[in-house]
Amino acid sequence: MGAARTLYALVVATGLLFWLNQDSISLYCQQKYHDSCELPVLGQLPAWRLGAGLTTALEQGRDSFLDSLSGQATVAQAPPVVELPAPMPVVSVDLQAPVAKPVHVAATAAHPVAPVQVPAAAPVVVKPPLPQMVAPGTLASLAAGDEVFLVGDSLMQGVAPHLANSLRKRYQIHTINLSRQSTGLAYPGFFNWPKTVAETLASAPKIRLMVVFLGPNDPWDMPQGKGKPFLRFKSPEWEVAYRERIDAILEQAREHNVQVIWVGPPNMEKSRLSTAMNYLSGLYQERTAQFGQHYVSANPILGYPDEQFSYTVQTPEGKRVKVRVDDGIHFTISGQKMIAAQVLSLISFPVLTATGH
Amino acid sequence: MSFLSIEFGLCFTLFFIVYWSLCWSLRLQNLLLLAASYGLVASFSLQSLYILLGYSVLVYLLGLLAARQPGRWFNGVLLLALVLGCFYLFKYQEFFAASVQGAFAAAGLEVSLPVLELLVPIGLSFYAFHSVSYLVSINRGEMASAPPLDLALYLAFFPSLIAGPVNRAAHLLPQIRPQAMREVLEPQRALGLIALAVVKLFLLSGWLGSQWVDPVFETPGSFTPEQVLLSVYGYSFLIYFNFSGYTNLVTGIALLLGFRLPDNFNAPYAARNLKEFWGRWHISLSRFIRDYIYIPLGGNRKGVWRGNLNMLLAMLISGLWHGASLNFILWGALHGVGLALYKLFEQLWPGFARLPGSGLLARLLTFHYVAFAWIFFRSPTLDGAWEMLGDIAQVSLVGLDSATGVALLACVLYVATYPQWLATLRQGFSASQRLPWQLYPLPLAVFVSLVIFASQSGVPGFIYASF
Repeated sequence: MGAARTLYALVVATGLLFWLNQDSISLYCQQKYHDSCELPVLGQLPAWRLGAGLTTALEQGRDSFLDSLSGQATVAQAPPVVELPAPMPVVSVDLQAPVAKPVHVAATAAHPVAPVQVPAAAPVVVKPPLPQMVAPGTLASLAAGDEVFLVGDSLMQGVAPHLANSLRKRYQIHTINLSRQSTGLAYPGFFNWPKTVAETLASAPKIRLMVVFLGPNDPWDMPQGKGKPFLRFKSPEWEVAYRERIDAILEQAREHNVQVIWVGPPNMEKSRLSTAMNYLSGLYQERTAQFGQHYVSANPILGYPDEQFSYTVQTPEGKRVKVRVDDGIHFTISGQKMIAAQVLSLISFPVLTATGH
Repeated sequence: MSFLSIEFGLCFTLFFIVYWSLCWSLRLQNLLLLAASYGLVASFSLQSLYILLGYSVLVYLLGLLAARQPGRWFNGVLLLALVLGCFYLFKYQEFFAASVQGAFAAAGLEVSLPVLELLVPIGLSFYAFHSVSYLVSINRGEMASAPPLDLALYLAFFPSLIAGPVNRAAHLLPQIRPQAMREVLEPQRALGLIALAVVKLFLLSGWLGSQWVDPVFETPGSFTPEQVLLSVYGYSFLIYFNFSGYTNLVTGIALLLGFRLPDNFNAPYAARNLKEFWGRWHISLSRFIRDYIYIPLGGNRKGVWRGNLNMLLAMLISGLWHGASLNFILWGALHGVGLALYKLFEQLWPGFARLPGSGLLARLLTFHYVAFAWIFFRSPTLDGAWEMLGDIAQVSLVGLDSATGVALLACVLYVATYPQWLATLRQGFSASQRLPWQLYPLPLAVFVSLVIFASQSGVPGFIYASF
């Protein structure tokens, strides 16, 4: 008897929860299972869609309330130092960049690009973002008062605190860290990086360097809009769409005169994921080169030759250090520090280092 | 698979239907529970499952031995070897090897200790505790050894496997083999507890983490002294919401399966001293440490100094159990020293509790001491903790005249008026329990939807699942 009543309560409550949260559940499903997860018949019924409508209306009410509230707050006082962006509304990326006919992107000696023959986006004029002096051996330079913007997923979330700490302690440089777990470029409905980057660069004019580190959430089929079939991972269409999103970020950086260091994800324990990271890295590398920006792979930083994966690495002192945690994806604190240190070593701080600290 | 994910919710509903349609056979229900528990472990990693299976076999054999030769010295030695061996192998190898190597290196000797790379099996900490309770009870002659499948389920029972509460054999084993047919216990309260867990985990701990706590603890030094203090208050609330929310969740799940788990939290920040705090915080672990570490060490039976030393040792072990780092050891030491100081204070000024306003003062003092110790608990590095303390020392009146200052005041007022809040919330919860069962799921689902709506996206993590 008790079990039947409980089952009744469970079913009613679950049904109601699904009815009201169907859009978030569908996004979650997209992001996790790479499938649209639409309910066959029920999904299209107006009565079913009403639940989603209610939630959307409530969300809009909340957003406009918060907007007007924060509009007043900014007049009254400075905004808080660290603020995560509010969950993004469902916005599909609409980057109608003209797609040129297939162009073979040649690998340069300095940047050995994975030999992918793919349709590239419209040719972009290569222009270094800043006419600043970049010290030999480094890729980017910062001056006093500049800010650094960190973009990425949980890989970046691990590395970011070390980067931010060193930048602040050694060079008094402020960091804006928006890295967020489970994000990437494949599911803009879940989290839209091109949009977040555009908004952040527009609102924080002191940003002179953006460090991007993402990838492992992306190697899947991805949605191209409501009701349309998913794009197959690695298909030419997939690649065009993904490339456009990389370009959108790089384009924003160029518009705001921001240097970019794009860190390519390292090899992973699972070979499927590892191969996929290699493939994505090829795209990151190719696009950053096209925009005259900088790409570094995390593989040499962790001492991985070729496509090998290892939980530990040998330090120059001969000690074996564990750099990856047990999931075979994320880093240990030592691994995070190694990557942060390597990224830092690519930045020159001419004025600040001269004054000493 | 997280207990608060959509997948778990759907799997659980299906499991619930099958489980209760088998209510005519305890044996089948238990088998199903065992299979589900092993399935859950396997969903984390197959290796974790093999280790749990191996561990269960060893505990079963030790149980047979202890039942045949109760009270013999080797039972204790074997148990200690099993538990310490597993903890060393899976949790502390790197920490100890690095510490020993460091100590030798300081003396000019280069020593290299072998370190096997092993993954920490999910739930190890908790099933190891369960096995201690089981084997000690048999050795003391308080119970007979359990049949293998009952023991396997006792060790693997999924609601309490990942992050507790810590069960006792004398409490859980009889529920695995009950006298009468099993039934859902307090169904409405169980669902209410799960909804409460959603509030605490998704909304409160998620929001506190991203807004007040994580940015500061990850990069201390880039914030004002007041913001640093706020992050410490924030973390004190966060860890309570996270862990007590988790306990609410698994208690609710267990009730739906016809099991009652031990109490784990009882409004800890209403405590007026550290001793009371430990009677209200992670109660099942505190009692475990009292019964299986503090009392065997001699408790307070061998004089004041020895008693305090035992308490300090017990708290240090508790600290080390939470994580192999100096930070956790310091956290344990702070609680050990704090408890000793409280004892001393009680002897020096026995009339304090009768003074007007002493209750409020004592609560605020206890909360602040506990919050101070949390800095070491949460900080990723010792340097980070010192830096935060240095920052907090610079809190000024000028700095308090800000939005952060208002938030700080709100925190202190919240702790000060905590008993009143608690009474109101508990009344609200029991009022919701009086709704007729036919209606109950509607407000419940709307309430949970509103909470999810107000929360950030993402499945929240459980802090205690990593200990």
